[in-house]
Amino acid sequence: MGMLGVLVLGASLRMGWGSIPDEPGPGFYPGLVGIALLVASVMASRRPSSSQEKAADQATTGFSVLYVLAAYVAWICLMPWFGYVLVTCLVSFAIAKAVGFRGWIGPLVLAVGISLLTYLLLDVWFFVDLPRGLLEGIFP
Amino acid sequence: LSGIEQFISGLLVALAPVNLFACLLGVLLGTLVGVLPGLGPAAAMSLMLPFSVKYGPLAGLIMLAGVWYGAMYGGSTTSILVNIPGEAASVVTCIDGYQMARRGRAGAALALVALGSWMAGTLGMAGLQFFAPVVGRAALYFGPPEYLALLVFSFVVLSTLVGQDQAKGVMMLTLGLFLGTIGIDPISGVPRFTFGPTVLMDGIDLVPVAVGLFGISEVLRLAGQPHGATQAARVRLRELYPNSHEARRAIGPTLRGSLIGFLCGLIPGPAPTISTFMSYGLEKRISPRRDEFGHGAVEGVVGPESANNAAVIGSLVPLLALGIPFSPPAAVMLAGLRLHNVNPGPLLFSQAPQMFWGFVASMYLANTVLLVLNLPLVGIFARIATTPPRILIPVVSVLCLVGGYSVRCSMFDVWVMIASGLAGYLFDRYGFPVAPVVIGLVLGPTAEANLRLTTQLLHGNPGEILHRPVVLAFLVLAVVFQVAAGRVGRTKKPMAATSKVEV
Repeated sequence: MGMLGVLVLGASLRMGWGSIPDEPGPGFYPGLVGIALLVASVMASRRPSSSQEKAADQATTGFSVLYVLAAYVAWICLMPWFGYVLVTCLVSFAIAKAVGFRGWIGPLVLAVGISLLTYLLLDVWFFVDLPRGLLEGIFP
Repeated sequence: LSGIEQFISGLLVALAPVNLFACLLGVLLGTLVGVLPGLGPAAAMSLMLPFSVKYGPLAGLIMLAGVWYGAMYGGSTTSILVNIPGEAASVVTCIDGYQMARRGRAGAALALVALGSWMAGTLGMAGLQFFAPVVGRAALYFGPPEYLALLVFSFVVLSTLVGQDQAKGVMMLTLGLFLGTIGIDPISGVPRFTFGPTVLMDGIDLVPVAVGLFGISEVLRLAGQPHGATQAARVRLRELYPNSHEARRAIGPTLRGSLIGFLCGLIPGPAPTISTFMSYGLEKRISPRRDEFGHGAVEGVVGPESANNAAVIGSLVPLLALGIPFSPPAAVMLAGLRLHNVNPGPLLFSQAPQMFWGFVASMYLANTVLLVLNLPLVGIFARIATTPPRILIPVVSVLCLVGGYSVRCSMFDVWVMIASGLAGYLFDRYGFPVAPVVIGLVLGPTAEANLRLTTQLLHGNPGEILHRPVVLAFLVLAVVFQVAAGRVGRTKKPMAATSKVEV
């Protein structure tokens, strides 16, 4: 985070601080934010922290987290081709399986139900234009 | 118009079918959010923003407030029945609430909490009715230096109260302030941190960041944990009657909790959570039955629950009167109001009185609806609370994804949301509070505008601040708070336990 502070400060100097204090330029406020970020990062890094211990103590299954994240990325990448209903169905099914939903019928019913329900709610009721993709003819 | 006439006209506005529907939907969803240990009020309110657009500003505001307020009610149900706090402000309720349930007094605990929350909400609304216009009128005399000083004070208090380490709080706050600078500088027109593509020219939207930090990160946390089955205590309607002894014991804590909660709501920070700890501490200190605390004391359940409901109402005073949100849900409400081109602040009461009074009246209705809703449906809510993560995670994931997309129909926002979610998950694991990021993002542009105006007003002479008593008062308060926080910092362990507060 300290590095981000340095980068923000550097960029703010390039934008220009203006004539301080009469007429601050576009880089003045980001510069102050960069300095604050840098100072806070230095202060935080100098304090003893128990958070690493907390992280080590947590019995987590990192695989599930990565799997869910990958499903989110797939939702974005596949959307233009497959459309909302199909992609949401696939992704929610994949997530359900990843987090331990056993069998096939249960996750499938959940996936179809949630994708159709959110489609009806948002696209039909709230007029949010959700991508149709392959199912263009079925979902007008 | 007198106050009563304005309230009656507000009541008529609130009784319009669309506003009643928004009220019902908001409190129902809020109760579900409070019950489910996944989404918090801020994320749920963010998801409701696109829905609120369809019904106009007042209905949108009513719906968002209903979600926030309902979440406070819902959180108590799971705390008492299954020992799982639906959100941070219900952590304290678990201590004695679950013990009451184990002793067969779950129904009485739920009924007393519902009645106490209703009373706290009603008293809080009366306070809002009185204080918000008064604060608004006082704020009419605020110039940019006063607003800037108020923001500095808010930042100091927020970074002190949220999380275990103030340096981490400041770091997260400045990260939010930095995110708020992304986009075209409104004065000079210079693009800042946009890295070329036009997609960042409008800046980073609050909704994907809030949904990511609070919703997606919670989903990732749930996905990474081993899951176990949870059994809820069954409660029948006829069991919902507290005996006269319990009812008498609940009166004092309800009134004290209401006052503590409302006052906590007026200061920056995770007011509902802090108010519950303060209320519990006070009740334990003054109770003649101190030994009962931790084993099912009525006072330990009713006081904190009354406090967190009153704190939500108290938080609305600075939001509506000053246009400054002191907590993430309030920040989302501000975003919702701006989405409808409504700017809360001192002029709200004179320029849009129907909006304010309609909102006040609808909150009275929401409070009563929650009471009616919570008692008979408590068994259903308890069963919903035990929804296994294998169902909860896919459902919440889809709601987050589609919610992040639907605000601007932008896949870029979904990328921002996923990145925020991953960042929130990692921040949480390493003890960094995420709430200040949202506050910083929302208040950053306001802080910058007031900083620029202040430097111009002072004509290069910072000494002129000495001629502005309000500025001086806020700055002195900030210093005093910082010094006091430094002294008690090492003894605030109980608060640190809920560092992931107010989501």
